[in-house]
Amino acid sequence: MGAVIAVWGVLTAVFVLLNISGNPAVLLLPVGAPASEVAHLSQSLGYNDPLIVQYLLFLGRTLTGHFPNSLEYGTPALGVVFGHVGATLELVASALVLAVIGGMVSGYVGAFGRYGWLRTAAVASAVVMQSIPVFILGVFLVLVFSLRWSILPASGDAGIQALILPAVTLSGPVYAPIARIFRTTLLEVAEEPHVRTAVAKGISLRSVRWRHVMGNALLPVITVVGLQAGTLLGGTVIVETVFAWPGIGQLAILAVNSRDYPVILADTLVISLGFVVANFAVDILYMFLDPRVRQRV
Amino acid sequence: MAGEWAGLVGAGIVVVACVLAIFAAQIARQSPDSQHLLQVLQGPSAQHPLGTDEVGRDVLSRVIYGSRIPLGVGSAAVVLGGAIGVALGMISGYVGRWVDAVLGRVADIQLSIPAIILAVAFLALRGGGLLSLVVVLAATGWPTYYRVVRSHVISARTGNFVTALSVIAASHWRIMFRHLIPDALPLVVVTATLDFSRAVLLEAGLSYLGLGVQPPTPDWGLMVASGQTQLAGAWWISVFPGIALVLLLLGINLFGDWLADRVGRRTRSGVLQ
Repeated sequence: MGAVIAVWGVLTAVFVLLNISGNPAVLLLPVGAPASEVAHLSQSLGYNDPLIVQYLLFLGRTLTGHFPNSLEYGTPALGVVFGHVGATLELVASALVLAVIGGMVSGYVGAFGRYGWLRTAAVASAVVMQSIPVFILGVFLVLVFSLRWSILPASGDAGIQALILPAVTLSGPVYAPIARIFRTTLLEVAEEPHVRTAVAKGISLRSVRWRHVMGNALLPVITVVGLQAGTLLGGTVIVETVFAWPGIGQLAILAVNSRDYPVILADTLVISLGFVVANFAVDILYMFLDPRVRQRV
Repeated sequence: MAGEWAGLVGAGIVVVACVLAIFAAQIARQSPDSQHLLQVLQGPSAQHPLGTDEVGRDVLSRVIYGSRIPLGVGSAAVVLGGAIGVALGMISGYVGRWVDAVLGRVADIQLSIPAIILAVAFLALRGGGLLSLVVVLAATGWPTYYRVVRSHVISARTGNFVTALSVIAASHWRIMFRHLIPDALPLVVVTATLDFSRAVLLEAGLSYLGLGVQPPTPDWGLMVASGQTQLAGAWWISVFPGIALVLLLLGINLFGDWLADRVGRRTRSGVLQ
């Protein structure tokens, strides 16, 4: 239900964007199109109708997959965007895996690290990573790994090597909140009575931490992943531009530069829907992992 | 978490950045715009401590002046977004019923569109400029204030002091503006600090993409972007404004964390995420 309302909200937002600068027909035609053509398109697409009629028409057309054509490619804009979804999914999935693994390792070390300096270093790494914008992280990584040491390519989509730098970059801002929440929750759970009981039974400290503490500290991590899905999807716009990665994020900026408005809007739609789907998936995952939520449903 | 000193260091960094922004004209030794075509792409030296860029402008001066846009736009966005979010959160929590339901949905929808793509689409269709930038940052920032204030008002509304105020026939306006808003102020300040960090980050990202402020205005995000093509030969054009931006964000975040601890909220969980 929440997801349905979110989809409706996203569609409405795109409609508002489409109408934000007056006549949408002007946006859907190449720059400098003759007035007669603008008038003709307005007529045929119903842009002279009252706004509410236009709104309903827009909803109907979009939901049935009809979206204006791209000015650059001349094909339906949604199709152009979908052609780039694969590359973005590859990047986002890799970044997510890196962020979750890195964040959990850092959170664990920050909570239970053997030495004080190690714990401090883990905590500090999260605070610092949180303060580095993705494009700066990207530029710094290119400077070190591509230009100084020339071990990784700075752009393109040729194979796994080209994926490493963009994925690490995109994972940066998501790594930090995962590390922080995992550390805090680990420390909280470690204080709980069931953990004390397990220790009292004589189970080794390591085994208690892995079995009894970690399991209970996983749920907040999933919550954070859901909350950060927007950072991850939105981050593709910047990261793909830094590394010329051919996904929907770079497509959005290329479309902005070539004033391909239908593609910009279709891209906005797809990224936002991706975010809605991600949150929906997190809710489902929650249901599988948390017996309490399962029972309530 | 990291203790008192971290908050102090954070506050110090922010104060230094503000001083740089306000007194840029007095502090910078050279104009940020004067081009010297005989001194292009020079590395750090005594005359140009952070080097010069592709048209021979002094990078240090541009870094100093470059603090103005992130701080100015960020503050304006926080004030605008905060005012909207606090007002709507107050109404939503106090009135309840369908008003709350509708406003809550609007906030949900706002949060279901990643801020950056909304900003990119808005700026592309509407045109850039400082005002558009502030509007889009505020529009993507208000729901956090809304949620914080709303949940605070809902729990305070049934509290003793509000009941007491009703008993002495205080008007709704008086209860809301004289009592509930001051009561929620510490939470609002914590939220504003975190939102400031978000606004600065987003402004820098948009300017990097070429959708925020336009050249030749000195701006850190823009400088990183323009130096990127020269990265192999003249790394200093991108790296120094990048470091400045990271330091500012680090300062805001350290101060924000310290503040959040002080206000006694569990750090960065729930609505403050």
